[in-house]
Amino acid sequence: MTDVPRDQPDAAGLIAIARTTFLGEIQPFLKDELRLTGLMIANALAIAERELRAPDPGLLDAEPLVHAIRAGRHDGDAGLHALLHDDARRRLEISNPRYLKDT
Amino acid sequence: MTPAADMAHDPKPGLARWLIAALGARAVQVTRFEKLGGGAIQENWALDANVTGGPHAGRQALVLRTDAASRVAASHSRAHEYAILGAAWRKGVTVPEPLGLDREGAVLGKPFYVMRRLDGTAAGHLLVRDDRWRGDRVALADRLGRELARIHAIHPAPEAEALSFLGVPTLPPGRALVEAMRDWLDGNQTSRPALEWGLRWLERHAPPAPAQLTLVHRDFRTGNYLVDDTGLTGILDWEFAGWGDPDEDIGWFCAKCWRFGAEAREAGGIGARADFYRGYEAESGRSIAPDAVAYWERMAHARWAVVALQQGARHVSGEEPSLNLALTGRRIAELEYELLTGTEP
Repeated sequence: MTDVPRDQPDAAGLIAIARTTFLGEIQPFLKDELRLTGLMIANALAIAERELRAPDPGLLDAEPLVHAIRAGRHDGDAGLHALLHDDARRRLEISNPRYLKDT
Repeated sequence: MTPAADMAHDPKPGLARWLIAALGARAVQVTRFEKLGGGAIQENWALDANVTGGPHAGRQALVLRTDAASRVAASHSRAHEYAILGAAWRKGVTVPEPLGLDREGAVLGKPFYVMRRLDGTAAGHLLVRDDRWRGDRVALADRLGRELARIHAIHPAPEAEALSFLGVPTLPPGRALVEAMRDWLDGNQTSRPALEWGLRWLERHAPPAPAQLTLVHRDFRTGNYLVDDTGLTGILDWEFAGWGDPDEDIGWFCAKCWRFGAEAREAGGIGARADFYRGYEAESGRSIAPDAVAYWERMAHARWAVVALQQGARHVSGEEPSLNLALTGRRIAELEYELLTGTEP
């Protein structure tokens, strides 16, 4: 069976236009603490949109890996370190891409 | 029904009666009792009182601190926090003067304590950017170093009675913290290989226990002290304090995750590391070893990562739905990334 095409705009597209509209038409009227709340709402929507647009990460069986790391079986394992670092970078591109640009 | 459960009940007369005894006054009138913003773990209430008689006669601006709906497991009870605040106050650390503790919760239905209300702002994102503080950054960094050194002049033996509830770690402090974080992760079925990599590194590289354990604040950072136009007015938020390695607080204060985006000012985003260190060394008479602090800066990212998970879990579990907690939970990626960057094999 082929994938049934989704109705458009899709979830990421809806979040994107909701965020743009919110920032353009509502945020300018917010004051003081509500301004900060508005920025948090826009931030949450941006994260959700990026996550929806990101490719699926490969599955990792975390639990046995955690046990092996604690037991010292990966001490000095540069390959695992690089893999974990890359994965953290991939997640950071979703949750806070500016962090990677600023630092 | 407890007084706190009875929302129609005005707590001010009960507070006034309690304040008469706590302040040694003849009469007290509470003119304002109003919840303040901030504080994910504790609630702070502004309390204004007209005091007649006794050593605190006059108009008093106070803060009442009590538990919020939910608490982070590692934080102290209000009674313990009050005892720690008292030890710091007696040692000359700039803190809000502690004025009284209701240990039993007879007045509000939950324990609270009262301290003097201080002027100033604690908001980190303002302190690192606001031009008002530009001229005072050297003085502020130096002063914060001196304050921290005074905290570290508090040791277990002289405080054996007042702070007997603080456990003395049996492992070197770094390893004890790693164990505590692993316990939380296991207790919450949280498998995070990136964080675990960092914890294993911190375990392997943990320094030996310091020659003498000191009080460590464990949340001494920008955002947890008050500054007004004249400079520092008080160190706040003592709920995580315990016995440990003094370098832990230095690393926490300087860690990149607590600079509020002002990366170039390595002392908490407000000043130069050299100014902060100079104040600390002058007050303590102890030289800071940069390598030792670097270890604790990595530890800071691990600890902050666990706190982010804890705060995120409060939202995700449905216990306390909150956009702020939800977004804090998503900071885990940044903290794990930074932790891995600093712990190459």
